[in-house]
Amino acid sequence: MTTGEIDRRGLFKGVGAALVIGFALPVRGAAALAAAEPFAPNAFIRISPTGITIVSKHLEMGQGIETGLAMVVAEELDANWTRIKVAAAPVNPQHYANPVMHDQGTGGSNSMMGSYAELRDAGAAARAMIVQAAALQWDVPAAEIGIERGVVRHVASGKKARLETFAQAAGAIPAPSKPVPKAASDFRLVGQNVHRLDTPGKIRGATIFTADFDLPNMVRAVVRRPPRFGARVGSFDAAAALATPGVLQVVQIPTGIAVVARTHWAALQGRESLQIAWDDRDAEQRGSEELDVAFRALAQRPGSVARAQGDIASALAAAPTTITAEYGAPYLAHAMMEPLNCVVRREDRSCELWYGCQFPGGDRRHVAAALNLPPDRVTIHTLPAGGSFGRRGSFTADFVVEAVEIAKALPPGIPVSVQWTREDDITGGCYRPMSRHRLDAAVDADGRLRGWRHRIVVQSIAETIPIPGLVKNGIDPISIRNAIDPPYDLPDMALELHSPKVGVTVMPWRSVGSSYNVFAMECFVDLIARRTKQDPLALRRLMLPAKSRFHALLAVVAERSGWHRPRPADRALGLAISTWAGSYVAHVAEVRRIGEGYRVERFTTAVDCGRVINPNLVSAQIEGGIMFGLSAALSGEITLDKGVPEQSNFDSYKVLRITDVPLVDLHLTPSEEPPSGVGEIAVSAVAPAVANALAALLGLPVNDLPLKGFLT
Amino acid sequence: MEIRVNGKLRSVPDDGGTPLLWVLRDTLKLTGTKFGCGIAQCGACTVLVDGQPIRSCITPVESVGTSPVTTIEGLSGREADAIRAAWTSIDVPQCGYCQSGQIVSATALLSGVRNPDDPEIDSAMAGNICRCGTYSRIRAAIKSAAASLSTPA
Ligand code: FES
Ligand code: FES
Repeated sequence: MTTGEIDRRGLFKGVGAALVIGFALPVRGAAALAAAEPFAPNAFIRISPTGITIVSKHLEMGQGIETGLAMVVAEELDANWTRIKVAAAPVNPQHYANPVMHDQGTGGSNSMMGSYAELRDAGAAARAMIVQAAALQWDVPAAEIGIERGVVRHVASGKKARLETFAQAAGAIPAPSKPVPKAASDFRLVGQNVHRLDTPGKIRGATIFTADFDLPNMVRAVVRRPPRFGARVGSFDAAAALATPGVLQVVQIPTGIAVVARTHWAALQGRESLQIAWDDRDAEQRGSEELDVAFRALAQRPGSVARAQGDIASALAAAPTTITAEYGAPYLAHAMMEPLNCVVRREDRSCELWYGCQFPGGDRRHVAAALNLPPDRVTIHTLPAGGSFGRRGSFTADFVVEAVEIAKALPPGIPVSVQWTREDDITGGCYRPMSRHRLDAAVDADGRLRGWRHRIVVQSIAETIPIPGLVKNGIDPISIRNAIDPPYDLPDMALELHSPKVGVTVMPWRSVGSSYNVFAMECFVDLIARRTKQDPLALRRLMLPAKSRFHALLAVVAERSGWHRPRPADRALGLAISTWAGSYVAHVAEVRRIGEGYRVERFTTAVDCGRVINPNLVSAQIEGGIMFGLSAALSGEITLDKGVPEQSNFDSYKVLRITDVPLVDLHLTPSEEPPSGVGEIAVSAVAPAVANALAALLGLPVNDLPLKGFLT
Repeated sequence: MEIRVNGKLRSVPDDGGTPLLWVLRDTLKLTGTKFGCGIAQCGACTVLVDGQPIRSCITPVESVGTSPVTTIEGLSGREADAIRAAWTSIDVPQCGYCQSGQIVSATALLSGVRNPDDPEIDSAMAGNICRCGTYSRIRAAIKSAAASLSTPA
């Protein structure tokens, strides 16, 4: 239903037709480049006489992936790094699928892991073709040709030329069937602290994010969504909104009421004047306290069995000592700095979108379905994103489809930029789910842990993913991440899961299931250590298999944090470990008592993430991951009052500021293993490290997040 | 109405109550200044008015008059150069969305305090949120910029 339709033709008069053709867009997409570039040996490399463009199939959302991927290609090409540019890939799952996702997308910290071998081959193939082209042109054996920092050279004849000079000729050389990447010992770029490619734009305000993207005749829209999850528009009155200067149209869409205006400010003003009666019949109306009571009750009952090894029931019955504890973690918003947004221009039989697209494959299918178009009529131009932390990787493409629904109500050819406010973001759901955990441990007479039963109560994320068979026998694999395979030797172990239905929408949030499961498990290990009077570090060493990659990390953090040294009574250390995407982390948090409160003074962190492509970028991800985890641990919390989120902006949803930042002493373990994930690895063990330090400092159990109760 | 932005007098059709942020972004297409919260909590929208950092999201455009407004696009001078050089060599930005505001705030700090200590950095930068967690590098970069300014060129 569209209100203000009578005005529509008049308001948009003269704009529609002018849009159809005839202006060049600042498209970052590689598709646009391909036509102009003479040498495109594969989907990832474009070389012209004026420069080299690496095509990134992964969204740049701050993690530095464009720089990292480009380094791998430039290394194999022996290119001059200063001549490298990066372009975002178009949607083409055939060329750009993420091997872990079996579709085109960025997430799960697997970008470098999944691209490393592929890009080395791509670079090596292009290099071989350029060498071959030079050999033909100079009439010398290919084996005598070298490339160094972008210069192709034949020493004996003294011939040399820039690599790009051979772009045209290399295009005629067949690609080698088995390209041979360099030996790691010959790396010149990989392993170095290369500066990020995107810094120059970001320090001048010149980088174009979705919020900044502009098209001729573009209109702006904001949406009023229901305060409660699952509510719908009952009735609404748009008269006052339509009377707001600058407002063009008010549209009912499946997610709420959209106000379309000439400027964002006018749209916001119009939205303020909307009168909407919400229909709450299907809405979630429970508050946090009711949910907490329900979750606590579930934690006392057996759940679906995700894993059973040995016989934990008998072990618990027979053990001279059992230890039981419960832990809780709240809903969390992603609150990336750039709130969600999307630019859409719909034509009659096609649609173009510009935004920070994390899942091009899935998003395109959802958009095509919403428009009843074949997917190849939908073009997505990926722009850099102002953070995501999971939010832009929506399995339903919620914010993208919503923008398309608005575009459907506009005349064809009118581009619309849909912008969420911070309130829309914080109250909008798609949260990290709240969780409840009960753990029961069986301890031998000699204080050795036999095993535990871990019961998780958490909403399923996987059941919102339109892939059949993801949830098997009541087990959502996302809910149990890290709890299914603790790093410790546990002869008797059981993992049970309850997946209660709650109307609140949930999504992955940087480190996903690990974020709550590791909190519960690592706090529990410390509790066992306290109860059995063992050092938490020594207990972990005892419980870890001899071959575990954690032993080296524990040795580093023990040494660098001064674990075994005496310290003042107002300070305590807390340890926690975690794995993610093939990587390993150990954190020691140091907390200091200040009056009735405390401060996190220092993190001593060791990470094993396989081969480090760029230590500078990896360190930034670990530092950022610690801050992200600490922000959530200290103050992150979405609570509900009768189903309505109680936090709405940074005044109530508190996040870490520069004043709260601890020192970080970070150690990256040298490794020849393939590169593994770094975006999320640091996050989940932050909260238990701080909680364990607090428990040691205060002599009190610390079982619930956030820890703000101690901050007074 | 006329406002003076980055040294130029610009005529803008917006209502006087419109926040400066949206005049800069939507009307003048100076999109380096970002929207992050709209309630003076995050600092993404920080610009200089008369050399002082303000949150443009809560500043009605009419309240600015023709006082000089400096946005990230127009930010220049010794302090800004030193800040940008330090930001580059330390690779401060991650997603970059908060960084216009961070750089404007940091430049204003160095313009007022030659060698800021940690508490001075805290109080100048506490209003600028970075969700990517670049805070340690921001602090290091401010100190490095300050050091470079006190070394005679
Ligand atoms: S947008 Fe102005 S302070 Fe956040
Ligand atoms: S760099 Fe991303 S929010 Fe600061």
